[in-house]
Amino acid sequence: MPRPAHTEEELRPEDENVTEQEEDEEEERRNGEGDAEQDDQDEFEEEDVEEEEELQDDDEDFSTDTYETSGNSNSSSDVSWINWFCTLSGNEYFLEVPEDFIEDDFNLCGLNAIVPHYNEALDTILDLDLDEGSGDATDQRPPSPPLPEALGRSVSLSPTPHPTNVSSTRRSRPTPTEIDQSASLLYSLVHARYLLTKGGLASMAERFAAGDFGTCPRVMCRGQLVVPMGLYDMPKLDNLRYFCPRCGDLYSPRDKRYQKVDGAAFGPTFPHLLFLTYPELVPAQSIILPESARKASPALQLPSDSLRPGVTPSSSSTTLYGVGVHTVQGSDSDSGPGRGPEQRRDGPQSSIGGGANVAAGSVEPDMQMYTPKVFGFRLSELARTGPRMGWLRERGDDLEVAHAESAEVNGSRALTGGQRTHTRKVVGGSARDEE
Amino acid sequence: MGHQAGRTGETSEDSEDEPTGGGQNMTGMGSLINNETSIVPGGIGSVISSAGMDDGGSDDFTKYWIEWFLSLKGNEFFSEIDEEYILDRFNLTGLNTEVTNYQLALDLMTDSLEEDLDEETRAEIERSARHLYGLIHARYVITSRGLAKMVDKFRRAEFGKCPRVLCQQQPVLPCGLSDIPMENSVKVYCPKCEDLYHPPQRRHATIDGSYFGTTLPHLLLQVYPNLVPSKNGERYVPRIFGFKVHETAKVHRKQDQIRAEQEKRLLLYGVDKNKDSPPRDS
Ligand SMILES: [Zn+2]
Repeated sequence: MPRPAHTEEELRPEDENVTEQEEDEEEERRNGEGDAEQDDQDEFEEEDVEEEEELQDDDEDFSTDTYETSGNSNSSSDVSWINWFCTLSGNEYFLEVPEDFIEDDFNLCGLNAIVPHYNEALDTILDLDLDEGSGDATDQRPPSPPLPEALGRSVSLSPTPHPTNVSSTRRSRPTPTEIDQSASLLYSLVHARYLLTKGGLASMAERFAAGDFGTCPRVMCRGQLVVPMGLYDMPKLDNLRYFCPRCGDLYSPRDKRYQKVDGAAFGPTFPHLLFLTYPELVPAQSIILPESARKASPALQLPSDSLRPGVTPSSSSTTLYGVGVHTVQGSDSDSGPGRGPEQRRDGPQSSIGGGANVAAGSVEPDMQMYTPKVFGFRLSELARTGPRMGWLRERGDDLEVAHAESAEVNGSRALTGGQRTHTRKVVGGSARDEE
Repeated sequence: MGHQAGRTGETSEDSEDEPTGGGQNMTGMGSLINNETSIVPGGIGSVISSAGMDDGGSDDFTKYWIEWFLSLKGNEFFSEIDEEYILDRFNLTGLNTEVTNYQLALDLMTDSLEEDLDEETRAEIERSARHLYGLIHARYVITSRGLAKMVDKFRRAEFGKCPRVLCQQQPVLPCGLSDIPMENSVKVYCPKCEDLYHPPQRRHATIDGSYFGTTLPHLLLQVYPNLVPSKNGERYVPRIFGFKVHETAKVHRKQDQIRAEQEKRLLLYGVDKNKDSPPRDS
């Protein structure tokens, strides 16, 4: 999305201090644009605003402590830029990328073409001195920015200044805000790369198992833990999404904070590499779990239904199988900032297996799939409004893979490119019948 | 247990509600409404003594139990049950054994509770009334009038939207996993992916799913087939550095096969799944 117009701030001479109010307005404008982009989702969350406010109260602690640039040496020694960035509201999912990873040029290959003010941004991230002779670094940031400031600085989908804006004004020095945005952008992109390294995957595996990213909103996934990801490698195309390793599907964040996070900071490869690297993190009922792994490892056959409100094992929050989610007791008093969004929302009773009081027969024997019923009767497939999407959650265990070549026909892009257009091959009169 | 949790959840939210609710209202009305909402759950005695001052205010106000109930934060999913429906005893058949203090609860709900009660009894009846409302609601929403009201709410996406990325903000419908009370909280059903999700807001996770029942969304879509969204074959394909993940691709092939077989069956039986035609019956 192009930046709508040159803002006054960009054209302002470099040394002029940005007053707090102007920053404020700038932030509001930017947030407004972000909102417009995701109008639909905001609607979705509209009613949550009050709840959000509660949450943001907690976050205020983070946002009020501005990160001082390296010009101010005594504060930067306490908290590094990376450290500070990862505590911003909405950035809770970010890992702290080790500095030596960032310092290795190889890891940054190509990013200078994407990130404006690349060098300044890199220096900011690494807390290197910015002041090439102009000792104004300390004054550039307002002492205590308002709340939206933090949101704006966290990686957002709002536009950041394009390099051409700068060159039009005889390559004047970028404003601190611009550098900030560039630093955030650069960090996000480096972050996405770091996630694919051994160290990055290991840290994320740990955080995933700890339930840091929340749970799948799908009822039949029974509180399966999810991981953040993005649909694209390029920034500003789409916001963060969650990948559920049980249903293999993608979900939008319900927490407003995470709707502003750029998906490129996590990228499209990360979750799949994670589960390939750590197959033990994949639940037994997963649609993505390799059959071989399913058969080979009896440890994976843990029934995820073992988790019931009444008998929640205390250690379950750290279990590796993604079943230990609902350790949260009491649905209203558990909104710690470190918890995942879904987890915070879900009280014990929201897990449908419900414990002993669930009468037999009130839930489907096959817990993978939801079966619509009218007055207790399954909908007929032959009804015009009958079920049509059963295949979506079907793992097809009892099916033989028909023809290997149909995989290649399948090659068209399904998600990122829109609709699949391939021709399906119907093979053999398989006895498969869905009731 | 579910119900109990619901109660405590709701009451704590009630108190939260007051400042914000008042702020949004016209300044004059705001305080009045606040008074009402805070007083109702308390005791009718206090209401009469305070509201009795302004000419017959108590009468006016007691007409609105249902309205008040619907205005509670967390109760947004409920639709308003027509008074005639509640007053027709036939519709309530069997509920008297389901609800303690049935008659008093019904009186309270229909604003005809005359008796002067102490706080504790009153709170108990209040609880019963809410439960009773939920039980009646489950029956009401699958009547033609009830369905029509749910359709309106659905069209305004008052139940939220599907969290699944590929469903692209498809509005959802409330759905229970059981018709028996106090088993599960309410879920939402997406007519596009035909799956069930947790409601987006935490406060809705305390509502009993049986108050909406297992039938509602499916009956609604049968009666209003033009509300059934188009169902395309979109599916998320995981990729590692641009390449499809082998195991998932295998599963997807099986899914394609299942789907193709279904299409074949539908074709065989002449069910045109792509065309919207008027409802077959009714
Ligand atoms: Zn959906």
